[in-house]
Amino acid sequence: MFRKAGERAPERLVPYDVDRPAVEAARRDPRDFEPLYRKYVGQVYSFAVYELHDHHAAEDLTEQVFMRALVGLPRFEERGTDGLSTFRVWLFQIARNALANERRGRMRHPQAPLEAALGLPALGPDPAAASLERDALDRAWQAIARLPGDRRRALVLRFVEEMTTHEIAGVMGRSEGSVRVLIHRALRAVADELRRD
Amino acid sequence: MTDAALRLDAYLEELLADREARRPRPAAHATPAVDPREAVAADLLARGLVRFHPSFRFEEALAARLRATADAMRLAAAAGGSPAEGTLLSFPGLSAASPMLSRERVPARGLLVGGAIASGVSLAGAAILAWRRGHRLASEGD
Repeated sequence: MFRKAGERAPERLVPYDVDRPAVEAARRDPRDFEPLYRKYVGQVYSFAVYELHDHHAAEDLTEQVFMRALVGLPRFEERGTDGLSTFRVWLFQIARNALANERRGRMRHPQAPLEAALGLPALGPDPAAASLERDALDRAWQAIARLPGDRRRALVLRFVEEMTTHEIAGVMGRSEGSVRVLIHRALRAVADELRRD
Repeated sequence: MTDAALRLDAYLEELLADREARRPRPAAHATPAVDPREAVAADLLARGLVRFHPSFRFEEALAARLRATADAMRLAAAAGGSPAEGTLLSFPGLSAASPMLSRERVPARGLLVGGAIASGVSLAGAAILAWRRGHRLASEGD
Protein backbone atom coordinates (compact mmCIF):
# COMPACT_ATOMS: atom_id res chain seq x y z
CA MET A 1 0.00 0.00 0.00
CA PHE A 2 2.71 2.45 1.08
CA ARG A 3 6.01 2.79 -0.71
CA LYS A 4 9.30 3.69 0.91
CA ALA A 5 10.87 6.97 -0.06
CA GLY A 6 12.63 6.68 -3.39
CA GLU A 7 10.90 3.46 -4.29
CA ARG A 8 9.47 3.51 -7.78
CA ALA A 9 5.82 2.94 -8.41
CA PRO A 10 5.20 -0.45 -10.03
CA GLU A 11 4.71 -0.13 -13.74
CA ARG A 12 1.15 -0.57 -14.86
CA LEU A 13 0.32 -3.55 -17.01
CA VAL A 14 -1.31 -2.31 -20.18
CA PRO A 15 -2.87 -4.98 -22.38
CA TYR A 16 -1.72 -4.79 -25.95
CA ASP A 17 -4.32 -3.10 -28.09
CA VAL A 18 -4.19 -4.36 -31.66
CA ASP A 19 -5.42 -0.95 -32.76
CA ARG A 20 -2.60 0.98 -31.09
CA PRO A 21 -0.65 1.74 -34.28
CA ALA A 22 -3.79 2.94 -36.05
CA VAL A 23 -4.82 5.02 -33.04
CA GLU A 24 -1.40 6.64 -32.86
CA ALA A 25 -1.48 7.42 -36.57
CA ALA A 26 -4.93 9.00 -36.22
CA ARG A 27 -3.72 11.08 -33.30
CA ARG A 28 -0.88 12.42 -35.40
CA ASP A 29 -3.17 13.15 -38.32
CA PRO A 30 -6.96 12.97 -37.93
CA ARG A 31 -7.25 12.00 -41.60
CA ASP A 32 -5.79 8.63 -40.65
CA PHE A 33 -8.87 7.87 -38.59
CA GLU A 34 -10.49 6.23 -41.60
CA PRO A 35 -9.00 2.71 -41.19
CA LEU A 36 -10.41 2.60 -37.65
CA TYR A 37 -13.77 3.73 -38.96
CA ARG A 38 -13.76 1.08 -41.70
CA LYS A 39 -12.80 -1.62 -39.25
CA TYR A 40 -15.51 -0.86 -36.71
CA VAL A 41 -18.40 0.73 -38.58
CA GLY A 42 -20.13 -2.63 -39.03
CA GLN A 43 -19.76 -3.56 -35.38
CA VAL A 44 -21.06 -0.26 -34.05
CA TYR A 45 -23.92 -0.22 -36.54
CA SER A 46 -24.88 -3.79 -35.71
CA PHE A 47 -24.86 -3.06 -31.98
CA ALA A 48 -27.10 -0.04 -32.63
CA VAL A 49 -29.52 -2.09 -34.74
CA TYR A 50 -29.93 -4.69 -32.01
CA GLU A 51 -30.53 -1.96 -29.46
CA LEU A 52 -32.78 0.37 -31.44
CA HIS A 53 -34.60 -2.08 -33.75
CA ASP A 54 -34.48 0.50 -36.51
CA HIS A 55 -31.94 0.77 -39.31
CA HIS A 56 -32.28 4.54 -39.75
CA ALA A 57 -31.91 5.25 -36.05
CA ALA A 58 -28.92 2.90 -36.04
CA GLU A 59 -27.30 4.90 -38.84
CA ASP A 60 -27.81 8.09 -36.90
CA LEU A 61 -26.30 6.61 -33.76
CA THR A 62 -23.36 5.23 -35.74
CA GLU A 63 -22.66 8.71 -37.09
CA GLN A 64 -22.72 10.22 -33.61
CA VAL A 65 -20.37 7.57 -32.27
CA PHE A 66 -17.71 8.01 -34.94
CA MET A 67 -17.88 11.80 -34.89
CA ARG A 68 -17.40 11.74 -31.11
CA ALA A 69 -14.61 9.21 -31.42
CA LEU A 70 -12.79 11.29 -34.03
CA VAL A 71 -12.85 14.48 -32.00
CA GLY A 72 -12.32 12.69 -28.68
CA LEU A 73 -9.32 10.66 -29.79
CA PRO A 74 -6.76 13.00 -28.14
CA ARG A 75 -8.41 12.23 -24.80
CA PHE A 76 -8.49 8.45 -25.27
CA GLU A 77 -5.92 6.53 -23.30
CA GLU A 78 -5.35 2.85 -22.91
CA ARG A 79 -5.61 1.90 -19.31
CA GLY A 80 -3.99 -0.92 -17.45
CA THR A 81 -5.27 -3.53 -15.07
CA ASP A 82 -6.99 -0.92 -12.92
CA GLY A 83 -9.41 -0.20 -15.74
CA LEU A 84 -9.15 -1.89 -19.10
CA SER A 85 -9.65 0.17 -22.15
CA THR A 86 -8.71 -0.63 -25.67
CA PHE A 87 -9.86 1.46 -28.60
CA ARG A 88 -12.70 -0.97 -29.30
CA VAL A 89 -13.90 -0.92 -25.69
CA TRP A 90 -13.70 2.88 -25.66
CA LEU A 91 -15.68 3.07 -28.91
CA PHE A 92 -18.43 0.89 -27.50
CA GLN A 93 -18.48 2.96 -24.32
CA ILE A 94 -19.22 5.96 -26.53
CA ALA A 95 -21.92 3.91 -28.25
CA ARG A 96 -23.44 2.93 -24.93
CA ASN A 97 -23.56 6.57 -23.79
CA ALA A 98 -24.98 7.76 -27.10
CA LEU A 99 -27.56 5.02 -26.87
CA ALA A 100 -28.63 6.14 -23.40
CA ASN A 101 -29.20 9.66 -24.77
CA GLU A 102 -30.98 8.31 -27.81
CA ARG A 103 -33.24 6.15 -25.70
CA ARG A 104 -34.27 9.09 -23.54
CA GLY A 105 -35.40 10.82 -26.74
CA ARG A 106 -37.31 7.76 -27.96
CA MET A 107 -39.25 7.02 -24.78
CA ARG A 108 -42.42 8.33 -26.34
CA HIS A 109 -42.18 6.18 -29.43
CA PRO A 110 -43.10 2.51 -29.58
CA GLN A 111 -40.30 0.26 -30.77
CA ALA A 112 -40.75 -2.32 -33.48
CA PRO A 113 -40.46 -5.92 -32.34
CA LEU A 114 -36.87 -7.01 -32.66
CA GLU A 115 -37.47 -9.96 -34.96
CA ALA A 116 -39.74 -7.94 -37.26
CA ALA A 117 -37.39 -4.99 -37.37
CA LEU A 118 -34.32 -6.99 -38.21
CA GLY A 119 -35.60 -9.78 -40.38
CA LEU A 120 -34.37 -13.26 -39.67
CA PRO A 121 -31.28 -14.66 -41.31
CA ALA A 122 -31.41 -17.59 -43.70
CA LEU A 123 -30.55 -20.82 -41.96
CA GLY A 124 -29.14 -23.92 -43.56
CA PRO A 125 -29.83 -25.64 -46.89
CA ASP A 126 -32.34 -28.25 -45.63
CA PRO A 127 -35.83 -26.65 -45.73
CA ALA A 128 -37.33 -28.87 -43.00
CA ALA A 129 -34.43 -28.35 -40.63
CA ALA A 130 -34.34 -24.66 -41.49
CA SER A 131 -38.04 -24.36 -40.68
CA LEU A 132 -37.54 -25.97 -37.28
CA GLU A 133 -34.57 -23.79 -36.59
CA ARG A 134 -36.48 -20.73 -37.75
CA ASP A 135 -39.21 -21.54 -35.26
CA ALA A 136 -36.67 -22.00 -32.48
CA LEU A 137 -34.98 -18.76 -33.41
CA ASP A 138 -38.33 -16.97 -33.41
CA ARG A 139 -38.88 -18.04 -29.85
CA ALA A 140 -35.32 -17.11 -28.94
CA TRP A 141 -35.95 -13.62 -30.34
CA GLN A 142 -39.05 -13.31 -28.20
CA ALA A 143 -37.10 -14.28 -25.11
CA ILE A 144 -34.29 -11.86 -25.97
CA ALA A 145 -36.78 -9.02 -26.52
CA ARG A 146 -38.17 -9.58 -23.02
CA LEU A 147 -34.76 -9.53 -21.34
CA PRO A 148 -33.75 -6.56 -19.20
CA GLY A 149 -31.53 -4.20 -21.20
CA ASP A 150 -28.25 -5.09 -19.52
CA ARG A 151 -28.72 -8.83 -20.07
CA ARG A 152 -29.70 -8.34 -23.70
CA ARG A 153 -26.76 -6.01 -24.26
CA ALA A 154 -24.30 -8.46 -22.71
CA LEU A 155 -25.67 -11.25 -24.90
CA VAL A 156 -25.37 -9.19 -28.08
CA LEU A 157 -21.84 -8.07 -27.24
CA ARG A 158 -20.88 -11.71 -26.60
CA PHE A 159 -22.54 -13.39 -29.58
CA VAL A 160 -22.65 -10.69 -32.23
CA GLU A 161 -19.58 -8.61 -31.47
CA GLU A 162 -17.71 -11.64 -30.14
CA MET A 163 -16.28 -9.69 -27.26
CA THR A 164 -14.63 -11.43 -24.35
CA THR A 165 -16.14 -11.15 -20.90
CA HIS A 166 -13.24 -8.85 -20.08
CA GLU A 167 -14.14 -6.47 -22.91
CA ILE A 168 -17.86 -6.51 -22.12
CA ALA A 169 -17.04 -5.64 -18.52
CA GLY A 170 -15.09 -2.63 -19.81
CA VAL A 171 -17.93 -1.50 -22.07
CA MET A 172 -20.64 -1.93 -19.45
CA GLY A 173 -18.66 -0.67 -16.48
CA ARG A 174 -19.18 -3.89 -14.54
CA SER A 175 -17.03 -6.63 -13.10
CA GLU A 176 -16.28 -9.70 -15.19
CA GLY A 177 -18.13 -11.85 -12.67
CA SER A 178 -21.31 -9.85 -13.00
CA VAL A 179 -21.08 -9.97 -16.80
CA ARG A 180 -20.81 -13.78 -16.67
CA VAL A 181 -23.88 -13.91 -14.47
CA LEU A 182 -25.79 -11.58 -16.81
CA ILE A 183 -25.01 -13.78 -19.79
CA HIS A 184 -25.83 -16.95 -17.89
CA ARG A 185 -29.21 -15.60 -16.82
CA ALA A 186 -29.94 -14.34 -20.31
CA LEU A 187 -29.12 -17.68 -21.86
CA ARG A 188 -31.17 -19.53 -19.29
CA ALA A 189 -34.16 -17.35 -20.17
CA VAL A 190 -33.69 -18.22 -23.84
CA ALA A 191 -33.35 -21.92 -22.96
CA ASP A 192 -36.56 -21.78 -20.90
CA GLU A 193 -38.39 -20.22 -23.83
CA LEU A 194 -37.12 -22.93 -26.19
CA ARG A 195 -38.27 -25.67 -23.85
CA ARG A 196 -41.80 -24.28 -23.71
CA ASP A 197 -44.20 -26.09 -26.07
CA MET B 1 -24.53 -19.67 -9.97
CA THR B 2 -21.00 -18.32 -10.27
CA ASP B 3 -19.49 -21.72 -11.05
CA ALA B 4 -22.17 -22.42 -13.62
CA ALA B 5 -21.62 -18.98 -15.14
CA LEU B 6 -17.87 -19.62 -15.30
CA ARG B 7 -18.35 -22.97 -17.02
CA LEU B 8 -20.78 -21.43 -19.46
CA ASP B 9 -18.29 -18.66 -20.18
CA ALA B 10 -15.63 -21.24 -21.03
CA TYR B 11 -18.13 -23.07 -23.23
CA LEU B 12 -19.02 -19.87 -25.10
CA GLU B 13 -15.35 -19.10 -25.59
CA GLU B 14 -14.89 -22.44 -27.37
CA LEU B 15 -18.15 -22.16 -29.26
CA LEU B 16 -17.36 -18.72 -30.67
CA ALA B 17 -13.77 -19.66 -31.45
CA ASP B 18 -15.00 -22.69 -33.40
CA ARG B 19 -17.51 -20.55 -35.26
CA GLU B 20 -14.79 -18.07 -36.13
CA ALA B 21 -12.54 -20.88 -37.38
CA ARG B 22 -15.49 -22.68 -39.06
CA ARG B 23 -14.61 -25.84 -37.18
CA PRO B 24 -17.30 -28.54 -36.89
CA ARG B 25 -18.67 -28.97 -33.38
CA PRO B 26 -20.05 -31.91 -31.46
CA ALA B 27 -23.74 -31.81 -30.56
CA ALA B 28 -24.41 -29.37 -27.74
CA HIS B 29 -25.79 -32.03 -25.38
CA ALA B 30 -22.50 -33.92 -25.58
CA THR B 31 -20.88 -31.28 -23.40
CA PRO B 32 -21.12 -32.30 -19.77
CA ALA B 33 -19.79 -29.08 -18.26
CA VAL B 34 -22.85 -26.95 -18.92
CA ASP B 35 -26.58 -27.42 -18.72
CA PRO B 36 -27.53 -29.09 -22.04
CA ARG B 37 -30.50 -26.74 -22.53
CA GLU B 38 -28.24 -23.72 -22.17
CA ALA B 39 -25.74 -25.27 -24.56
CA VAL B 40 -28.49 -25.81 -27.15
CA ALA B 41 -29.63 -22.19 -26.73
CA ALA B 42 -26.05 -20.96 -27.05
CA ASP B 43 -25.51 -22.96 -30.23
CA LEU B 44 -28.72 -21.60 -31.70
CA LEU B 45 -27.77 -18.00 -30.92
CA ALA B 46 -24.26 -18.51 -32.28
CA ARG B 47 -25.86 -19.47 -35.60
CA GLY B 48 -28.79 -17.08 -35.55
CA LEU B 49 -27.52 -13.80 -34.10
CA VAL B 50 -25.88 -12.30 -37.14
CA ARG B 51 -23.99 -9.07 -37.55
CA PHE B 52 -25.64 -6.39 -39.66
CA HIS B 53 -23.73 -4.10 -41.93
CA PRO B 54 -24.77 -0.60 -42.95
CA SER B 55 -25.51 0.14 -46.57
CA PHE B 56 -22.62 1.05 -48.82
CA ARG B 57 -24.27 4.41 -49.44
CA PHE B 58 -24.42 5.24 -45.74
CA GLU B 59 -20.91 4.00 -45.05
CA GLU B 60 -19.41 6.12 -47.82
CA ALA B 61 -21.42 9.23 -46.90
CA LEU B 62 -20.28 9.02 -43.29
CA ALA B 63 -16.69 8.36 -44.39
CA ALA B 64 -16.87 11.58 -46.42
CA ARG B 65 -18.20 13.55 -43.46
CA LEU B 66 -15.47 12.17 -41.22
CA ARG B 67 -12.83 13.07 -43.80
CA ALA B 68 -14.17 16.62 -44.00
CA THR B 69 -14.11 16.91 -40.23
CA ALA B 70 -10.60 15.49 -40.07
CA ASP B 71 -9.44 17.95 -42.73
CA ALA B 72 -10.92 20.83 -40.79
CA MET B 73 -9.32 19.64 -37.56
CA ARG B 74 -5.97 19.43 -39.28
CA LEU B 75 -6.35 22.89 -40.77
CA ALA B 76 -7.35 24.27 -37.40
CA ALA B 77 -4.22 22.83 -35.83
CA ALA B 78 -1.99 24.06 -38.65
CA ALA B 79 -3.54 27.51 -38.71
CA GLY B 80 -3.16 28.05 -35.51
CA GLY B 81 -1.40 28.37 -33.37
CA SER B 82 -2.89 28.00 -30.10
CA PRO B 83 -6.31 26.47 -30.22
CA ALA B 84 -6.91 28.39 -27.02
CA GLU B 85 -7.49 31.52 -29.03
CA GLY B 86 -10.94 30.17 -29.71
CA THR B 87 -11.41 31.82 -33.09
CA LEU B 88 -13.95 30.25 -35.37
CA LEU B 89 -12.55 28.84 -38.55
CA SER B 90 -14.21 28.69 -41.87
CA PHE B 91 -15.31 25.23 -42.75
CA PRO B 92 -13.63 24.25 -45.99
CA GLY B 93 -15.57 22.03 -48.30
CA LEU B 94 -18.69 21.93 -46.23
CA SER B 95 -20.85 24.59 -47.75
CA ALA B 96 -24.48 23.76 -48.28
CA ALA B 97 -23.70 23.45 -51.97
CA SER B 98 -20.99 20.88 -51.37
CA PRO B 99 -21.62 17.77 -53.44
CA MET B 100 -20.55 15.78 -50.43
CA LEU B 101 -23.66 16.91 -48.63
CA SER B 102 -26.01 16.80 -51.56
CA ARG B 103 -29.24 14.89 -51.21
CA GLU B 104 -27.92 12.61 -53.91
CA ARG B 105 -25.36 11.22 -51.48
CA VAL B 106 -27.24 11.60 -48.24
CA PRO B 107 -30.85 10.53 -48.53
CA ALA B 108 -33.20 12.78 -46.60
CA ARG B 109 -35.06 10.97 -43.87
CA GLY B 110 -37.13 11.98 -40.90
CA LEU B 111 -34.54 11.47 -38.27
CA LEU B 112 -33.48 13.12 -35.09
CA VAL B 113 -32.37 16.73 -35.32
CA GLY B 114 -33.52 17.85 -38.69
CA GLY B 115 -32.31 14.96 -40.78
CA ALA B 116 -28.97 13.80 -41.97
CA ILE B 117 -27.86 17.00 -43.72
CA ALA B 118 -28.49 19.27 -40.79
CA SER B 119 -27.01 16.78 -38.39
CA GLY B 120 -23.97 16.29 -40.61
CA VAL B 121 -23.16 19.98 -40.62
CA SER B 122 -23.94 20.59 -36.98
CA LEU B 123 -22.06 17.50 -35.89
CA ALA B 124 -19.06 18.53 -37.92
CA GLY B 125 -19.18 22.06 -36.48
CA ALA B 126 -19.56 20.77 -32.96
CA ALA B 127 -16.77 18.33 -33.69
CA ILE B 128 -14.33 21.11 -34.51
CA LEU B 129 -15.14 23.05 -31.36
CA ALA B 130 -14.93 19.93 -29.21
CA TRP B 131 -11.69 18.86 -30.79
CA ARG B 132 -10.11 22.28 -30.29
CA ARG B 133 -11.14 22.20 -26.65
CA GLY B 134 -9.87 18.64 -26.21
CA HIS B 135 -6.66 19.45 -27.98
CA ARG B 136 -6.08 22.39 -25.65
CA LEU B 137 -6.77 20.24 -22.58
CA ALA B 138 -4.45 17.56 -23.89
CA SER B 139 -1.72 20.15 -24.49
CA GLU B 140 -2.14 21.53 -21.00
CA GLY B 141 -1.83 18.01 -19.63
CA ASP B 142 1.53 17.41 -21.35
